[in-house]
Amino acid sequence: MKKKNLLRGLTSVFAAILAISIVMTNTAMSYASMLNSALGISTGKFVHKDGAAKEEPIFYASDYGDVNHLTQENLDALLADEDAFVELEEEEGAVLLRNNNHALPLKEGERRVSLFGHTSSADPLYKNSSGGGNIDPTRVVSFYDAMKEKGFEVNETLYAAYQTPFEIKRSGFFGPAVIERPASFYTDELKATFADYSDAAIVVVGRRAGENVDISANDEEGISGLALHKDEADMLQIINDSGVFKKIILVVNSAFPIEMKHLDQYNIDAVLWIGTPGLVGFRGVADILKGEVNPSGHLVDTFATDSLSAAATQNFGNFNYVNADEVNEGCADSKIPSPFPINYVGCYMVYQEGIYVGYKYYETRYEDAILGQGNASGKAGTFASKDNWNYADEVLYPFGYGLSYTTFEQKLGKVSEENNVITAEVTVKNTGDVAGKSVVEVYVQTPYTDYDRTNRVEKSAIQLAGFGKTQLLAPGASETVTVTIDKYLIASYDAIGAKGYILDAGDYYLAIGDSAHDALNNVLAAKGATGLYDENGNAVTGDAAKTYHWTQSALDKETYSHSAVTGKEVTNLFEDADINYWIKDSVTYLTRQDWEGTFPTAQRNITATPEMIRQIDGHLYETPADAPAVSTFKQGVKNGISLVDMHGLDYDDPQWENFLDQLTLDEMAEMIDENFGQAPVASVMKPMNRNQDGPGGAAGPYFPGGSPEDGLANNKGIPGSCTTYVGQMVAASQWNKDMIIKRGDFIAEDCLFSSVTQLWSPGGDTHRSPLSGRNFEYYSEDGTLSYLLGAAQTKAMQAKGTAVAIKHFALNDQETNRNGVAIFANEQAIREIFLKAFEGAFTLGGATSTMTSYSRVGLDYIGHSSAMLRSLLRGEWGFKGANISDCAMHPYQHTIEGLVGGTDFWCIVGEKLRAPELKEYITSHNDGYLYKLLRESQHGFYYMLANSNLVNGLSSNMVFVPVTPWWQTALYIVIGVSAALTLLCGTAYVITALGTKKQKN
Amino acid sequence: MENKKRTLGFTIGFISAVIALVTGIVLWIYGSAVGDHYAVAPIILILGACIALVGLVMKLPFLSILPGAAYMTAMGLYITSQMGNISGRLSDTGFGATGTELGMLIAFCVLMLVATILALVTSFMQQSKETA
Repeated sequence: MKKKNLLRGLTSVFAAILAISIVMTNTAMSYASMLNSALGISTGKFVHKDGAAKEEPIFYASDYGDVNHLTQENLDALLADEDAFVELEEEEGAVLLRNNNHALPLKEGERRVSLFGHTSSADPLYKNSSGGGNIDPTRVVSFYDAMKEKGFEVNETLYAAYQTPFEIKRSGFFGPAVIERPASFYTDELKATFADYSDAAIVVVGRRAGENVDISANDEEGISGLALHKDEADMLQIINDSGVFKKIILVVNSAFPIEMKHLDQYNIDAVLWIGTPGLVGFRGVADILKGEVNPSGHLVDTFATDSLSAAATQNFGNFNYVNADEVNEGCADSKIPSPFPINYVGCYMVYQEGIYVGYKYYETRYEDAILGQGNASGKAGTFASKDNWNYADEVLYPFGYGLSYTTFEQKLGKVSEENNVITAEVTVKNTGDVAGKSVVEVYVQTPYTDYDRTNRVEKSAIQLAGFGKTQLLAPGASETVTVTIDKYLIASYDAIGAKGYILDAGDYYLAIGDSAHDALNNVLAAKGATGLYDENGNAVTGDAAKTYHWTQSALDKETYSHSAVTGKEVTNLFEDADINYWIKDSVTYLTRQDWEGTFPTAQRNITATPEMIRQIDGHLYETPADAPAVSTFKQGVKNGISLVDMHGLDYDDPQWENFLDQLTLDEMAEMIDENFGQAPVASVMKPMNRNQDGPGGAAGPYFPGGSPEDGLANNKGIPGSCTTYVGQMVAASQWNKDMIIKRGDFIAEDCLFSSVTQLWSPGGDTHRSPLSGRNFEYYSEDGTLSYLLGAAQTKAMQAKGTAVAIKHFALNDQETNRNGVAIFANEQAIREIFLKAFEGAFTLGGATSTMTSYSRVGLDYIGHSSAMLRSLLRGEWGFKGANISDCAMHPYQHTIEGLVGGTDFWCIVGEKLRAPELKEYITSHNDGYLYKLLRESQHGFYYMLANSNLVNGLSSNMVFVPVTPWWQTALYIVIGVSAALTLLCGTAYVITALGTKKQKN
Repeated sequence: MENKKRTLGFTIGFISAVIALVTGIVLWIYGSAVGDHYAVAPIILILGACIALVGLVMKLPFLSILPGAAYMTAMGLYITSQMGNISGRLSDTGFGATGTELGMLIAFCVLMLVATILALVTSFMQQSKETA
């Protein structure tokens, strides 16, 4: 090869290496905090000053060792406890829905079983596709493993057959919702094995959905994704037709309520809903089947006969403005090139059902049907009813329902009230033959008055007010459970008359019951109603003795007119979230005054007005004329106050001003960009913080690295993902606050062991529709249950130093069009249903963070909504801390309007850093108003961190020493070497080429 | 008489440029079709291909230094633009996922890589025969 060619080639190679290394370095630097977080690398360390005492304070201790020096032994002890806990969660959260002839538990001699269903064997559904937690293959226990472990003999031929690959016909982003083998799979050879394992056919069915994906209302088979599909029906038919099985047990391995109207058709003896059992929860399922454990879970959602029958589901999915093109044309964000094929501005959803979400619809309509009022027995909204609307036809298992292997008797004892807190004592006796736990559900009916009708205040006929759970009761044993109820939770929001919460004049009923329906029947009995029936259509009389009645003499608009937390006046904040605000009389909300006339219909005819389009556009901020100059604020002052010095100080302590004076505009702006964490800030001695998802457990490994000087564990390189707990709705189904507190405590331990400061957990949204793809991340369809559970879990997590970012605040109740969908709802529904679910986590739990929703409240992206993030969250609820957006990759999430609205930092910005935009705006406009907001935002941010596990191991005697991560050094070396070689070879090539030319000449 | 100017180097360089050119155009069209409106990588690819073709046709061998670097730059920028998509799809969360299918993404990257390797190989070779 000629020298000239060689040099040219080498130049070319080194130039290519230089090019790719520059580009990739740039990319890596953009994702630096994410990379460092994943690799467990800190960009600085904190070391003690010369001569200073080597103290390593502990502010948030672990129960498993020295939190500043955690070891593998500590972790082993934690994991042993967590495995036992996850098993216990499943045992208490699984709900026995049907148990004909005491089919369950399987008896002593019934151990030879056949496991049916793709989900039973090939693909157990430990968790859904999002929501944190990862499956550690070294720890996971499958259903098959659990059954074997617990002494069952499993049909191995059938199990092996399910492991063979097969073509999954249906498509979907995360795979199909329903995966099952066709009838042809069950060959005669396979069927011949059934007889040897015929003590029980245990059939597992599952549903898959997740982030970005709802369950389809009309899928490839032309039916709801929650309906029984052909392959499933064929499988059940084959099992039933075989005639060899003594029992057929259906196990529902799905967070979503699968329709189960065909149970009799296939002679199914028992049904056990298990949701998603997490890492090792299948052990708990096996324990229940075997009878080692008595199930005590109760439903947190209504299981309807037809999954499309809920009032809310009539408006669910993809709805676009009639003039969506015009809206797109009128919104600047639509013109910004984006890698996402998403309609950010043209979609909406009308919550026409008002407050009648979940059981509040079915039960209220039932009462009105029984009492013959409000056209409740009409045709509108009939899905499973044979003729006119009938509760027993429409509902299979009511909210709060759950069976046991034993029987309990519950008696309502003393009920008292003091300082607006009701205390109810309920005595529970185990009247059966085996030990078990009993859930005490306390409901309230508030009066529906003429005042309400005039002011369009809606009332659910029954609403959960409080709950408790017994310890394990031996047969014949009793326990008195005391349930306290804050009357605030039964107050109604009156958006027209009082513009605040009211307690109506009239008759109030408190009732206990085995479900919402049972409690309502007890109330109806106390009211003297007749013609009552249960969910199976059987006539019942109700039990008035299980109710407590009181009368309020006058309408009370005062008691809850001001926030109990901040004293701020409570008033309407979301009038413009009502579509009628923008287009007069365009939508009539469901009212119990006329079920027939107002049952929701798909609201597809909304045309956005020019005013609406301007609001959707959302580019609304202009620097105020009276904005102060940036120079009026102190920056970069050397006050010597470090982050750890701020631990425990009140939010309003004057020292915060001195602390904030130390920060520069650059330092403050850089903190608004988040990539699973944020970089250290030397001037205030802030270490790198790591943030993670999610509700099912921290997504990430234990011991990702770091050093004790960073405040957390120093161990490196020990593999293993953090524990995946049972799905959050399974946790809720335990109806056990102690267990929820333990869950919070364990998740917070995981955060200590994985160096996570802020966790995007728990989930607080509402199961508005059974089709919503991420219901498994949230507690329930009931706001009060979520309020109480969220408060308990959050308090436990915060106590151990996790900055709890309950998500997705708020109105993220469907995945379809989640990026920018405009949620139209009335203020009563927003407050009583959807915000109530979050409220407890802030006001009682003390959450120092929240992850905001992608949705819009009305037309305003929630990250821009000062009504939501400032007036409500900080004003009424007294939130102190910092909120984080959902993944900030979309153009409709504006940096400037976000800061104005109350967004403190932006989640996973990737390379699209927002700090430069903010700095440029503030500087070029000399906008001291925006600067002040940024400073206030940083106040919340550092308050969150100062009161988190990040300060463990930090002391004022330390200094920050920057460390360049090894990968950055390596990349710089590659760039330097390749640049030098390119130059060298290039120069040599030019010289050689010129020499050759000269020679030729 | 003038000898035929085609050499193996010319052929490889030509194939490389055609691959880059076609990849750039298809990438642009595909991106637009699936909502991934990302033009920088296709433009750099097409630019690199044009430089390569000019170098070949005009017998300017020093230009063969540039296409490899251009294609690598395009590939780097393309991968960068797809980071959210890759992470969303691999993590099964859809967090940041776009319309580009992973298979197509890999195919584009492979094509860019092939174009790069061929461009680098040809830069070591004689791309035209000496005229007689």
